[in-house]
Amino acid sequence: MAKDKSKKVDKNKSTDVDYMSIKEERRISRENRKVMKQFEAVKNRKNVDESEYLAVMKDPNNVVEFDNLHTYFFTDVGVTKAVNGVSFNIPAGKIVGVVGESGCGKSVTSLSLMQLVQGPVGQIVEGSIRYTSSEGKTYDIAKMPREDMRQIRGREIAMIFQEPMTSLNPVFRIGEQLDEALALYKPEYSNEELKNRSIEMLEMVGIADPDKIYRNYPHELSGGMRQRVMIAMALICDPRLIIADEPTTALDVTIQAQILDLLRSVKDKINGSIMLITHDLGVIAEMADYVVVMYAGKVIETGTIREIFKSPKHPYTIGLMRSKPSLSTMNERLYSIPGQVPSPVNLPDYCYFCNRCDFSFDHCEAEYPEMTEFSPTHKAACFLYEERFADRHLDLPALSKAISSGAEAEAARSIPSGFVDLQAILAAESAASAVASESEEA
Amino acid sequence: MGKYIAKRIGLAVIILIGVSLLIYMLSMLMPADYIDNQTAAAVQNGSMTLEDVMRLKELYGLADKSFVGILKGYFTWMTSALSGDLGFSFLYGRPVTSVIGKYVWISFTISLIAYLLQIAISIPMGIKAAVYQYSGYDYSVSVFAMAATSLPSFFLAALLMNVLSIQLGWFPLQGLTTATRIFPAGFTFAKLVDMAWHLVLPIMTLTLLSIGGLMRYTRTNMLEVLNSDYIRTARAKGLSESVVINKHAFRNTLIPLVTTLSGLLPGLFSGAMITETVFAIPGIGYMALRATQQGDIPFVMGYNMFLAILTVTGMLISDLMYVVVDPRVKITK
Repeated sequence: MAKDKSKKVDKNKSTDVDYMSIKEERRISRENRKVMKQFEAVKNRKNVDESEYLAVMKDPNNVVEFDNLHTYFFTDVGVTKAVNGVSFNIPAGKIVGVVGESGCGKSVTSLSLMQLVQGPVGQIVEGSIRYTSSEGKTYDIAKMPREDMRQIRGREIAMIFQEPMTSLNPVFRIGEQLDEALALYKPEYSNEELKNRSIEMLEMVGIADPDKIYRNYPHELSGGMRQRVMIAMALICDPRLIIADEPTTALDVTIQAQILDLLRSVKDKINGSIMLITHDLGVIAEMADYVVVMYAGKVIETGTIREIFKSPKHPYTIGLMRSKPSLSTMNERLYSIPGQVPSPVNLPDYCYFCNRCDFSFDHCEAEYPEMTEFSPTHKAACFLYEERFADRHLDLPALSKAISSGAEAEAARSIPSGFVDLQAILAAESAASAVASESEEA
Repeated sequence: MGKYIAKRIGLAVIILIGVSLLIYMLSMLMPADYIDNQTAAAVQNGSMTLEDVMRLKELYGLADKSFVGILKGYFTWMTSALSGDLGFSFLYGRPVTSVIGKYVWISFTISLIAYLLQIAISIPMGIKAAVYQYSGYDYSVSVFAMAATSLPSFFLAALLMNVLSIQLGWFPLQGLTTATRIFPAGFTFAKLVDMAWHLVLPIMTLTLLSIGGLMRYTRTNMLEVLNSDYIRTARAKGLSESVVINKHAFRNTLIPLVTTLSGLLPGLFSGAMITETVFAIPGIGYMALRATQQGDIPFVMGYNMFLAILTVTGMLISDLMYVVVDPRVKITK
């Protein structure tokens, strides 16, 4: 009975706004409560044998392997599939950039890795997150009980949040908040040693007067300074992996560059990896070694920075590139991908992007595409590139189409050096390749 | 800081003058004054004439009810009040200050104990309810607390009296001491125990009435704090859940709690009018209710000015406490 009803709702969905009956709502919240209780009980277990959550890495060079991760939110309107089968790796010593528009599941993926998804509503439902600790043991974080996870947070994986303005506790001094993190990691330290190390960290992240800042309250610092403090706090326990969740979004542009420089130099110092979450392609271009493009809770394209920026395959990735403002396309309207992200409550069972895609064809509404491999590192989930459709001679999207005219390339070249503008570089490159292909055709 | 307090006190004086003028006018304009109340029966059966009544009114200063007359009366009251003399209570036949001074302490004792119990019970309850939001504990505590708060005080008092005193006989029904026992003058331990015994029900009433509000307030503030970014940061550092809640979250929840609760402190002297009346406890609230009913203007004035001063002080304390508990708040002027 209930099932029939939910199907009906699904059907209405496409035509108009759907209203839920009270009965339906009650059923959802009852089921949610049951499911959430189960998950919470598993997470709250104590004295769990380590063997239950030990795992083996597929590739020993990786620090983290996300494998088919599903993180759902059990809300009153239904199950929100925020992360819906995400798989990618973070190699040791590399920076992996995760891009996508707001609400595509980037942050939830990183919070899952920290087990910081807001419970009991948010739960890791399926899949695994394998992490190799500094002791060489590999854990499956998705299965780890809360108590054991505490050993990893902070000292193994540290996180820098998006909002430096609100991420520091307003009623404690900077020094106290730094010392506290370090004291967990080095319980043998005396107060004096803690203080010295904290001040040293503040100095390392480029704070001019660390002794004074140590005694300040967060509200006495600017946003950039606070983000530096956050970075110092993340680094204080020498983590192997830093998750930077849009670390520069809330900062103004001049500070952004400084913070990114700082992150890069810090990565070299601690010899760790960074998972950099952002929706700013410029930041990715400047920082990342590998790029993961996410859309509606799924990874749609992965590759090295060169592969993604030079030859993006997925129409969504190409759309993202085109919607970045650039000096070389000054006279044109800024491109925006038409349509909206599908609601994460009622996701279709075919490609999530097809209703917004200029290149979609009949098969796009038949099933969800598998990953197509272009190189060992470059993969995209799109039917356009699948072998079985090769004979159809589909119109393939290309970045060069949007920005390849010679005049623009000229404009791009004339941009003063030192100004990092990715679009311009790409335009120049693609113009060169266009010339090359033209000569080939001739 | 000193300058700020001086400014606030100056402001308070202006407020108090306004309040006193308003209360004086309202009490003078009440349709039946003290003399009317006292002489109604005598006038009815003819043993007093209306002239006698007017003479009495003249004597008590209640005769001239014109605007100028009221203002004149107000200034007379004002000048003596400024020198510390609040006049003689019509009803109690003693200086108002001495009546207040005598009865305020029993009210203060009751309110203080209820206040401390309220804090000790509702804050931990509110925090636990917030940490286990939507759990069985959260729902049951919320329902219980809201039920207790929603009941009118006289009804809750009557309910407790009926169940705990009349039916179960655990506590005495009314009064401050057992009427049939005679205690020697001065302090004795037996008298203290007897009084404490009588105060259980009134204190229980006051505590139950206030638990709900404070518990909900704590819960709401705690929930807001628990959802904030810095709590996520604290968790991300690897701190244990008890440190996250009892140190990082609680310290922030304390800001609104401390300022509200410290603002209530002066109010402890004001008495619980209805509860004291239901339990027939001779506290300041009970005395004030009787005086108001009888139109005892000097006492009503004295008591209400006392309340106004307590309120103004409470607000000042509350504002000053912000500076103490929240490092972000600074007084610059």
